[in-house]
Amino acid sequence: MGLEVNFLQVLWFILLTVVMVAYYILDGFDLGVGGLYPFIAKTDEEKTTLRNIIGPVWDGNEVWLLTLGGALFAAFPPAYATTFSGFYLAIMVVLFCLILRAVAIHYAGSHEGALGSWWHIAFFIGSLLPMLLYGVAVGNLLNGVPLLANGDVAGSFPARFIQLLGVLPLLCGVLSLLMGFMQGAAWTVAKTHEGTALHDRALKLVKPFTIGSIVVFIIATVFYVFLVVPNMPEAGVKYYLGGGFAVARIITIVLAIAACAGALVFIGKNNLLGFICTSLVVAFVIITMVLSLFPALVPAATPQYALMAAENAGVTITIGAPFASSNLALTAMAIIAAIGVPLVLIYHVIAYRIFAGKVHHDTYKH
Amino acid sequence: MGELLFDVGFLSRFQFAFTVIYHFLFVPLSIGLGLILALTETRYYKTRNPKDKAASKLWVRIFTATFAVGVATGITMEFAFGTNWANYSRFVGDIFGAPLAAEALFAFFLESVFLGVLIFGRDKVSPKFYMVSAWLVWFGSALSALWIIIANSWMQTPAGYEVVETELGSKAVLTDFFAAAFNPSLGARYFHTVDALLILGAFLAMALCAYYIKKGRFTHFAKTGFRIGAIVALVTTIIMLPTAHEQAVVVAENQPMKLAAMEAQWVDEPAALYLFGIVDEANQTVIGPAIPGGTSFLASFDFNKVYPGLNSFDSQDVEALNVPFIFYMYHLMVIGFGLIAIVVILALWTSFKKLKLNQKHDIPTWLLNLFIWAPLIPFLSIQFGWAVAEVGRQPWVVYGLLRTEDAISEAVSAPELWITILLFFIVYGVIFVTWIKTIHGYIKRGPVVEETAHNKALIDDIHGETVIKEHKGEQLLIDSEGNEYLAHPHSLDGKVAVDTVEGAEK
Ligand code: HDD
Ligand code: HEM
Ligand code: HEM
Repeated sequence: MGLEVNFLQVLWFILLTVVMVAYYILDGFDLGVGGLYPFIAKTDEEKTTLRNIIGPVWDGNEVWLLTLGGALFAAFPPAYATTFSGFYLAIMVVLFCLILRAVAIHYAGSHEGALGSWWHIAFFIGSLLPMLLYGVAVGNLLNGVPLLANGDVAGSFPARFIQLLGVLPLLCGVLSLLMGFMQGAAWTVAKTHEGTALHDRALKLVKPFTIGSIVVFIIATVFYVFLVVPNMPEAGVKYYLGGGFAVARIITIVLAIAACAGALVFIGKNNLLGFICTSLVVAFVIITMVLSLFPALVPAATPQYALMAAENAGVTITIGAPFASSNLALTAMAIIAAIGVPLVLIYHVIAYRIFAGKVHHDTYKH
Repeated sequence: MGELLFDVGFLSRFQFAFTVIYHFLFVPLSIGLGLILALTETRYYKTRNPKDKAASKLWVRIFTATFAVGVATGITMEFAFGTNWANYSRFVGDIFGAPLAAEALFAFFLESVFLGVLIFGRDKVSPKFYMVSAWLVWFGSALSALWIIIANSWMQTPAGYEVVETELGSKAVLTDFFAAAFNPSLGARYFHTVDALLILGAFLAMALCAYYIKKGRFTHFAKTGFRIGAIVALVTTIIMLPTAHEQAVVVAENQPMKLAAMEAQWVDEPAALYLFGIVDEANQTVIGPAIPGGTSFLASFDFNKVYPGLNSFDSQDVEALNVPFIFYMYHLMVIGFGLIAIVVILALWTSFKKLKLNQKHDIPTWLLNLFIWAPLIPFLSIQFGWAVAEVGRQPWVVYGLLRTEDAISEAVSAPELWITILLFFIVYGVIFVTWIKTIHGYIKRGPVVEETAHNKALIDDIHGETVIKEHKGEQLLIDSEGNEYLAHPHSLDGKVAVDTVEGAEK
């Protein structure tokens, strides 16, 4: 195989994974709270409580997504360009959801009547759809994407939009939804007062969502390994799926199951530990997915659409040349990250410490 | 025209222009108001006066409701380069991506975390921490403006790069990080833009105060606030001159074709400065009063310096340039400066000659109305200025390197763009209406002092007071300075109750 990757490219692949994990753990819980909003909050007070447990932190959580987008753009521009333009409508749906949701969180509490209830719906839908679509997007990457010679996704509208909905993408979509619900429920349990109806409802939901996540995760993995991988073009990423990577993925799957068990044990007893365990489930699921992709970012689905001749290792958009940014750009970015990430961690510690502790509907007067 | 409706390039440009202008309606408000808020909060930190707290709370409400929209619409911009400008992203990613990522790491995290403190944390953190948070949010927003303007300025005056050929086509590759970041137009653009935003902030503060003076409410708050606004406006308007000069210098040096378009000058000659005018493209002239050599002077301090006219450039490039539009936008911006200067002078005169703290004012209503509507001038000038910068960069998206028509996403089709443009109209429209309603509600209510255990004595002490009924049936006490206090029934005992007060909102 002719594909060569250097240290900086692998470093940025790892950093992107870290950002993705941070995003899904953190924004996962506030998207999850939004997705559960109409189901577990029955009264206006409970709705306010739910908005209060994410209010001070959700924006910071979402910035991880912006960081992910910016870093992907900077480190591997073709992958950013291909996915964002190729999945245009799906990305735009996510975008509109995030916009409405951001505004809804701010305005839902301050408007009564028709306008108010409208914003409650926007908060719910705006949280639900992105979770689903993130999973669908990942499923499509794992499936492979039909690529043209210039790197664009093949096909035309509307077929290209509909073709996004394969079996694996739908499985991954459901998995992503379940993980979001799991995070949302676990966070609600950790942040609300024991004995309140809201707390009890959320507590009842954590276990089924956690078990559901693991079950769907295993089904999706089996589907991927036995039905998707054998039909993949010979060249390219398939090469990397065996050997050490297979072992690594078995380890992360086992760790995900262990984290799931941990969540089942702790939730209801030590809710913070329970939340940490569900977060680890998320982390290991994402790492497993990423190990399946490496060193590709956007695998090409069918050889006749492949980016370059098949004997060339780069049939697919990988993290190697010519898809990665120059070493100088990657180094500059690494320095920026070395300064920026510690600051970001400090900000997070400050925020989560200030707003630590249980919350109810009139915790914050403003 | 019909063809344009199916042209992905045109639709992408339309969508980008619409969404970025919309984003940039709220960003200037946030950065401008952020400074006012930080100043007000600092004042409250020093005085610990409940009236200052009420003022600060009002600014926090207005600011955060505005900021929320800025945040929401910023996500669109971040995504837009990948969704709508895929070939652009492939070409510039090596250079352009880093500032975007840095903006998120350095600025957005800072803003979002301390914004959370501003909205939710007043009772959770110490007064000092709260005050510092207000400054950090403002600092974060000025920092995010820096990174995005680095990215934008690189597109105007690329530096620190080389163009290389790869299997995937040509792309710009970074050769010198600092040369790229501190490219020739960054300094002028950043300071000019931020100063413009601060002018806007000062004008907004004055407008709110003028509104309360007109209504006869919160007169003490309004008179002091108006004076602070007028002083900030004076300082920032003076700073505007050197930064504007610097902009002209940078454009003249780096984008001579844009300079020619700004003054609609077709032949090589000393560039005139038109006060206003009508562009006659057919005859290649402008009809209107001008200072001969004025622009030459602005850009080089020499009335006789010759600048190339549009006829000296590639005729295809010039054809793609909308010369009259650029001319009008540029001159509207400059006229904007003139109007701003006039308003500032009127405001200083009003504040120091007409607004005695303990007297009824005799300011004519038209003048107050002028101050109330004056923020529109910097608000629009900011948009005009960006139109000059961005439309004047055409037909290039990266000046001299990449044409806008080559920068699009080929994978995106016209129908898809129609769907999203329509959705943007609807969603952004709904958001705009909500924002207006919310802000209007906040302003109508005003900086009312709410009764707490702390300031109960203060409220009990008010003499010569009247009681009015606000909307929603709240009981308010007004003292001789026009401050309003939200009062519990017990505070009303023995005080004169009147249903309405002259000039107050019903
Ligand atoms: C309150 C708003 C405001 C006011 C009164 C002015 N400007 Fe401005 N101007 C801006 C707000 C602005 C801006 C929105 O901030 C721009 C857009 C892009 C930029 O860099 O700043 C801008 C751009 C801009 C450009 C284009 C830069 C480019 O194309 O790259 C020039 C040459 C000037 N300005 C010059 C002036 C002059 C000579 C002014 C009158 C004294 C003036 N501006 C007043
Ligand atoms: C097309 C270019 C632009 C992009 C990609 C962009 C991106 C973004 C994003 C993603 C956010 C949301 C951040 C969050 O979630 O906290 C945002 C907000 C913000 N942007 Fe932009 N932006 C653009 C143009 C500008 C410009 C030109 C300025 C300033 C001169 C600016 C200044 C800000 C500021 C201060 C905020 C904070 C929110 C607010 O003030 O309302 N942006 N932007
Ligand atoms: C916030 C202030 C800004 C405003 C009001 C603004 C305005 C515009 C307008 C009106 C256009 C359309 C020009 C045309 O089609 O002829 C445009 C294009 C564009 N601008 Fe800006 N812009 C702003 C900031 C930025 C920033 C900060 C960036 C990059 C970081 C940027 C990147 C672009 C790109 C990529 C295009 C598309 C290509 C084109 O049509 O020229 N803009 N902008």
